[in-house]
Amino acid sequence: MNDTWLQSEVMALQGKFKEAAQNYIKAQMLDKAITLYTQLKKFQEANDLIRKHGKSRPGEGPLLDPAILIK
Amino acid sequence: MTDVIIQHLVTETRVKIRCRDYIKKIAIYKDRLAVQLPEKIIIYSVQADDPFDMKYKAHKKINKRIDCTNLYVTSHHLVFIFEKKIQLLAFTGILVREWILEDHIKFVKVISGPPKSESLIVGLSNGVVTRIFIDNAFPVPIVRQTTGIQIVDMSADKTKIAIIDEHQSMFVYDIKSQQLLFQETQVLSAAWNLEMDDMLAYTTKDTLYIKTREMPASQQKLPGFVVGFKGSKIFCLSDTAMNTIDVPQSSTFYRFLEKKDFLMAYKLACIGVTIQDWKALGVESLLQKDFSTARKAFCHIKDLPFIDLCETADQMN
Repeated sequence: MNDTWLQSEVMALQGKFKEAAQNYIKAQMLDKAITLYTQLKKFQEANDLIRKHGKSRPGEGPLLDPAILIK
Repeated sequence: MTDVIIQHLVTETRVKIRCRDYIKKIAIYKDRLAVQLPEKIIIYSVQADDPFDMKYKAHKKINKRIDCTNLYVTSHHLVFIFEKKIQLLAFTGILVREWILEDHIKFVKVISGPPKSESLIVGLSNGVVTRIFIDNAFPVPIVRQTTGIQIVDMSADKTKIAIIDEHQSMFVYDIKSQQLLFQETQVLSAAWNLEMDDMLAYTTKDTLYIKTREMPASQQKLPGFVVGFKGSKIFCLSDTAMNTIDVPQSSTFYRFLEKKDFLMAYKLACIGVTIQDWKALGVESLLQKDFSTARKAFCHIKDLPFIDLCETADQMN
């Protein structure tokens, strides 16, 4: 089991979403951070995260992996 | 002088029993109450299954005149304390057993046990503390001190004993290893928690201390003598009034939580802490992967999302 995952989940349940997302990003788990925000329907924040930390350059491909959004 | 007033310390209700005679001695144990009048002894009882019942009914009468220094009652027997002698009588008035001790009896306390085999803890003026099981003719020596005994109390799990001697020094011993665990001066009274092992309350002249295991004692100003300690409630006698004081457990709780002793923290929490404290315990133990404690803590405050997370994490592990 992943410690980062547990820590971030606990933070998220305590309402500390920003800390939780940062914690995910620190551990290179961008997809989890995005899932967190999309589940909260905070798409703006999710988008910001991708722009900041996403690997693909703008124009090279979709910014958000559609698979995450479908969930 | 002719009435007995019984006060229920938890519900703070009182009842009065009229005896219409001069009362010499009284004793209480669980559902029994014994009242000694000049010419007879009356044993009252209440319904044993309801702890809040206060309807005392006369159960047995013994027409005997006994001049003892102290009287105690157990579920089926009366205990008479004389200077160096203890007598055990059945409720019919027949002498069942007698113990002769080596020195003057200074302190006696009934330790609860299965009916008909309760025990007494006896402190003598030569410093010997013995335990007498009422179904056994031989006293069991526990601790031998050099100074006379004033007060003795035994912890709920019967493994530790607190002794206050005639110079007001308190000694706490481990009964099995005979090791002195803790020592304090100027102590007037002490009582172990009835629901929690290892938690001792003691009073000096104007301060109440509560000591849990090897942690430093927490203190608060409080005049009077502590006589009982049950859960988070302390029963305190000051002058002629009996006070019930609720003591918060949070500070001790957080000490154990910091030490990551979740089992002890959970036990303390059960005695009474706030919802925030429960949540802190749950989060802390979850992060340390103690899932069962975490789950129990969140169940206590009915925090469903966290319980769900506990389950998921436990399955992933």
